[in-house]
Amino acid sequence: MLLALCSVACGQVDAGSAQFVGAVRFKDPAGTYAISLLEPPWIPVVVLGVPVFIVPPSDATITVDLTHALTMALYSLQVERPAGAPTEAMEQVFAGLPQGATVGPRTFTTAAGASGVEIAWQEAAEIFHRDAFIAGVGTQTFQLHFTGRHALEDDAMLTQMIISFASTSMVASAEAR
Amino acid sequence: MSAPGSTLFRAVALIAALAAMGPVARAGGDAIDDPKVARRLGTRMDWGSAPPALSPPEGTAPGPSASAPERGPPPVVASSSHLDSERETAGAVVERTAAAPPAPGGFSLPRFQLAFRRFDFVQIGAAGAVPGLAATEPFNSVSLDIYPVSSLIRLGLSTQYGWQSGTWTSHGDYFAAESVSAGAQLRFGRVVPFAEAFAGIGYMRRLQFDRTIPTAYWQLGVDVGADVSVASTGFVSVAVGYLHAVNGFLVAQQFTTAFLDTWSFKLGIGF
Repeated sequence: MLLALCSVACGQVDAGSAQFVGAVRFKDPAGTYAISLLEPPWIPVVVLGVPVFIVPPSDATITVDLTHALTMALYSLQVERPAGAPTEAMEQVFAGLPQGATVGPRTFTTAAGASGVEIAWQEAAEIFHRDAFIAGVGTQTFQLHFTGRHALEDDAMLTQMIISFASTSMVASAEAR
Repeated sequence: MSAPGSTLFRAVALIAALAAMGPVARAGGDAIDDPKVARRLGTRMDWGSAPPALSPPEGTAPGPSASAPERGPPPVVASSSHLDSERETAGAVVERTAAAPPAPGGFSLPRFQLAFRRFDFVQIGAAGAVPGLAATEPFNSVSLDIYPVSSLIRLGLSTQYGWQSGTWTSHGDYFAAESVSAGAQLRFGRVVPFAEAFAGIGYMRRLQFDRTIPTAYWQLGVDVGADVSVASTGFVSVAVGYLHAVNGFLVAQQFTTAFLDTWSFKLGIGF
């Protein structure tokens, strides 16, 4: 009891060396990927086996309407699986956007060692998006589609979520290393 | 040539004058025999050292203090600056009151301090330079430190407000904490080196994805530094500290704590 109290008093996790401090490791019900979330404020909502992640406003009301929940959310994340390699998937999205509306593309590497590419863009006055395309060696491509109410390209907390993403094979290969 | 009556008058006057001077001359000892003078001087104080020489007016006997250096105890230097009041009356009476003894070295020890501290913490949930690690989050803080006990040891209370560097309250993290401290200090003239340990607890607001997340904050630390007197009561303070900062928060409805050991730098002014 005293040791537990001392542990809590002195701190349980060394934030200077531990990865993804304060985050919950969420695993896809299908077992295809995992991502670290701050929970709160993020809430995973699984609809028909497909998880959607939202940050509701402080005055949010409970609803079963997913479209309404996504509309009122301060932030949302939908994980999709586009065809092709990350660069090809990104270019398909990029081609459909007006010129000058995008930031990027930028490349990144996740904590599990997978490489990816991302772009950020604005859809409307208070609708901003950030899309990250990730694929490990021999795995399919995942698209992390973020939506928020202000520019997202430099949001360090979204970057942390993107870096934490790992498909099941990525996790297995990282553990093998 | 004078008349015999005039000579007699002079002789009587001389005797009367000698009779009047007699008691005063004997008063060169400890007692004031003249009741009028005694009433005006009141209780006599022996300062031991020669007070400012005041020439007694003609017709007044020399005061007893004139002989004090010869018979007094080892002199205690009591300069005129240590006198609360000194005035000369019409009867050449000097009235003095003793001042409070000055602090050793002439400077007071710290009692109150307004301080600024800077240290690094981590921004929970934000990406840092190393993939997976949390971003470094510099904090600035101001504190009002009070030392109810300040002698060889010093005990203090500190009320602290800190904010994420580059923000104030609306766009970043901040905290408020109350700490107690205990340490030791030693005066070397104007400089008072000190070392103290402190512990505090408070509230920290985390701003995550535009949502306010209430969390707990507490800290343990050690400061080593010096206070330098800039006047008889004022001082500036510089200290380097080692800080064990802890943040407690809910993760999926379970209380979790994260800590960081870091250096801190503290500047202060006080009296």
